Amino acid sequence: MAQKESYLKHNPRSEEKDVELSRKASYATLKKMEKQAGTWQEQLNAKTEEEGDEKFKKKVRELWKQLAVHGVIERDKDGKVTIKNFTDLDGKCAIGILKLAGIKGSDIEYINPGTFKKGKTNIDTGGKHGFEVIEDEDGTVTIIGDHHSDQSGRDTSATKIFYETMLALRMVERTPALDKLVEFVTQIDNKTFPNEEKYYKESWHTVLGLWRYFNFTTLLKYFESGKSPTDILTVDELFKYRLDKAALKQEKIVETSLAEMERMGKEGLIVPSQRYGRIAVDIGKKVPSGIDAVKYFGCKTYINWSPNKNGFFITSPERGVTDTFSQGFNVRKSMYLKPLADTSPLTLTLGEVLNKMTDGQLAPSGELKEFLDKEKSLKYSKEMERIGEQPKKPSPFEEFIEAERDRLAEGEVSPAEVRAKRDMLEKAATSDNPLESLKDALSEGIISPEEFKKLKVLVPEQESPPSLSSQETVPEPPVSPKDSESAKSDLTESPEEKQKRLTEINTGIAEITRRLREEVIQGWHNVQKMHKERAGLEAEKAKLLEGKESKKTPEQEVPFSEQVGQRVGQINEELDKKYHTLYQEVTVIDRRPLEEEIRSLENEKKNLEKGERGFSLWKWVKERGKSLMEIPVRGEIKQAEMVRFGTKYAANLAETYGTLIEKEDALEINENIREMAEKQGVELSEEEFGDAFDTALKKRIDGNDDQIRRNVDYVVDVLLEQLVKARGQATAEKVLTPAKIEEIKSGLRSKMNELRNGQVSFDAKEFSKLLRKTLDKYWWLRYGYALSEILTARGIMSFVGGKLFGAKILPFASPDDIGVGAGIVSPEQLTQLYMDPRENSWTMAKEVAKRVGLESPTADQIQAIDEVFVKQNGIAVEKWGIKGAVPDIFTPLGWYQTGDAVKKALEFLPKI
Amino acid sequence: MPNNKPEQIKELLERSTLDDRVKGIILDNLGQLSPDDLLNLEKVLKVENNRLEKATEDIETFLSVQESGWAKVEEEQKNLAKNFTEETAVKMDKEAENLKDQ
Repeated sequence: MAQKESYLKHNPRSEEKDVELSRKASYATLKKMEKQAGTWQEQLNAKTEEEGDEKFKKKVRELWKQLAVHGVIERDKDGKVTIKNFTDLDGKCAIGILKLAGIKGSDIEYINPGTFKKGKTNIDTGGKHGFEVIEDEDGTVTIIGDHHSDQSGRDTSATKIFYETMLALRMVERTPALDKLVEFVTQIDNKTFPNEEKYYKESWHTVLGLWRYFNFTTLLKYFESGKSPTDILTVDELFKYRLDKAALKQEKIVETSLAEMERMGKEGLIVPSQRYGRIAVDIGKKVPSGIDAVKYFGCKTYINWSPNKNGFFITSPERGVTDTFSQGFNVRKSMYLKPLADTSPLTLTLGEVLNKMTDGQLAPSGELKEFLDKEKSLKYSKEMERIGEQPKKPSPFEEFIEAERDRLAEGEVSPAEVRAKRDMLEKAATSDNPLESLKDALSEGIISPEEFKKLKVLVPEQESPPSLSSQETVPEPPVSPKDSESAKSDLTESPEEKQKRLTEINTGIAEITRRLREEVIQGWHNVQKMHKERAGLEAEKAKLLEGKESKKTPEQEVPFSEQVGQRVGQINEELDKKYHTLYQEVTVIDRRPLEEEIRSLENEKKNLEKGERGFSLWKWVKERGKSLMEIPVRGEIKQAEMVRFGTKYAANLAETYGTLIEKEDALEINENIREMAEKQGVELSEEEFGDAFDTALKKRIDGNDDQIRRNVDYVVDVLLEQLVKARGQATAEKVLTPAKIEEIKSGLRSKMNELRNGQVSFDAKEFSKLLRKTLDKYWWLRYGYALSEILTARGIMSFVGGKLFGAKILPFASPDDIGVGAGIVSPEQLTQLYMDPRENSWTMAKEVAKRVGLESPTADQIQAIDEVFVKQNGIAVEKWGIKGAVPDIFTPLGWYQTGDAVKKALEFLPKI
Repeated sequence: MPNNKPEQIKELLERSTLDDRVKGIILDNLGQLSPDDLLNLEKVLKVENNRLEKATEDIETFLSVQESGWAKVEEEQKNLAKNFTEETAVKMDKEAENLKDQ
């Protein structure tokens, strides 16, 4: 507390600014009140100043609650631009601040960035600077809090604007954590976090790198813990904030981005300039982290040039973008873009942009030069899209498309359906794997299962490698004397001589294979040795730098799951090497010992993973129980969730696993889930089900992806190495061209995926059955472990609660009444007696409402009555901020009939 | 399982899904409870523990079936890779040979 006071004392706010904001906000509220019955003076009439203040705040909460925020713009696979019903961190946190002030936006509208909705409170959109109030001729008052105008600098955000406004109105209490949150969001939104690039490499386990996965509540919680955005999160913290998956994802993003930046540097895609520093040119958005990775590489400016998406994006956070171009517009002086929402064709060229930004000093090389040359020679839009396309082959699906056109003429299908099928089939015909494209289309519902079967037979088989005789332009390969002799022998030698020569060749190949294997193994040994040496030196270095003993304290010990991960990583490396050797021995003998070693490693890995899965499963079960504890709490979540759950999850499941699960199987799974939902009234969120599915299935798929990758990589490696050794580098390169390698990889991957898809389908079906069956059998599991948990809680409270908590609770709950201990009542009966979640306060509140004639009370009305019950009975509801002697989860059925709670509620009812 | 009742309760509480707040209050006040109370408390916790175990049995069965299914898939994938390598190596070698003939 003292710390907080000291902080606030040393960081005073500007009174002048407060007065100005308070004046504007009050004006907006009073103007809105004019549309209500009575003058504002009458509406705010109060005996004391305090009461008047409270009335005014109540009005703000009532009149500002229609919220509009900018949605995120996305382009779907057909190129159609849509506004998604979610917003960025700034939008989310501004809404969070308003909620903290009691302005609970009941129906948030997500609108096109830059626009505003008349009459609403517009957040982070509207094109104004700061907090603004617009009054229309018809008296409609619109509130805007935005920072996307020309006047806006880079030191503000919507979150900051609404925070300051709410502070000025004294509707939010200022705290150091809130100050830090607002500062952080402002820096993130403006890309002004000091020295951000320094932290990029570690960003996968810091808040600075993972902020996208935070919402207002979790971010506030984080800052309340006193930590900084650059602190490295521990494994426990990653789990606590549910960032474990996000961290892995981010780690991959960082890796990919750094690798791509390396490549760009070599390919001339980093260009020097006087005014913008080093400019990184990302053609086709291949650097997932964008400016973050670019800054880490010492570049000051980033260009994302996406001609296929008709847009581009230039940002130079430190230097600002001062040039203008024939297309696009400037945003906050630091960005220049032609957004996805602008569907006009891109006519500006990258060459024009770079020439202007480098003041005519551009000297392109490598890939950049190639691109700019093509750009010059091609007309934009249509032709740019063709860069990289293969010559068009006749589509194998032409017949099908023709038949669809006939059906259209007959009026059997709509034009939109035919268009969707035609577009999809055109893409499938030119894709590497038409069958996969057809499966995608099936899962997306573009084609029916019958149509899929018809189209499947039209898919051409993988083409055989181009015949060498057709490669007339290929120069003659260098021929060794032995090769020459061999070639000659085919034409002139007798069958006996030929056989003799073949035996020699086979012996030669076997010998080369043996030597190759030895060399590779020796190489690995050396690599391992060097790894060990380096690790030893690094450990010694760390010790010297820290001046500490290497012995770890308990806090520093590696968590179990991490140890498992590390060991599995080591095993994977070893397996990689051993498979490499095994696959080399194409014609070889003597593979048994190696196979034994591989089997042993595989078993160790499986046991480790099994242990980890068990651990995760238990953890998941417990966590799920915890989160579901809130379900029977009470409140508005109940009824709506009950109804909407079933169908929504089923649809989501089909969509998520659509590519892996046969449509018929998906239907069966959906049916299982739906049945379970109907039967049990289960209220599990999609996220919770997603977690369950991840635990049961997704990790297997991911693991198998690794297995496939390993198999495919080594098959290609081995083929190449053998060919090089046996036939020489030049010949090998002519046979195994990059295109051929890609073809082999793609074909192999596809075959391996086919082998696995049956298992994925089987697993998914079995898992959905398990859920249904288990939840039927152990009915108390229908809320995860929540009921079991409550059962335990209630049992404990029944027997010993009074002694432990010192509160007057459970009026009829003596051990004799309950009888569990004496075996009179089964735990199931006890549970039913006490806490069917649908039969407690919510039902009671509804009945009380009916007594006063409210036949169909709204959720708000029921909740209001429930609040009276809770307060009258001295029950604590953490979620509502109500304090009391007994936690609400311990309240039994019938509790509210005791005392005079019902009477009080009836007195209160006419007021709602 | 320890013989001492409070120790047993502590152990059961550790495995329980109860909220940590509740666990803390119980542990802090164990000394105030009579032997009967302790017995009842232990029974309630055991009920919860047994049920969790029953549920995990079902899940474990699912996992072991799944385990063998995936092992089979991986084996098939490896065989595919081996066979493919053998076939393709021979094919490539022939191609290389033809190339020299031309």
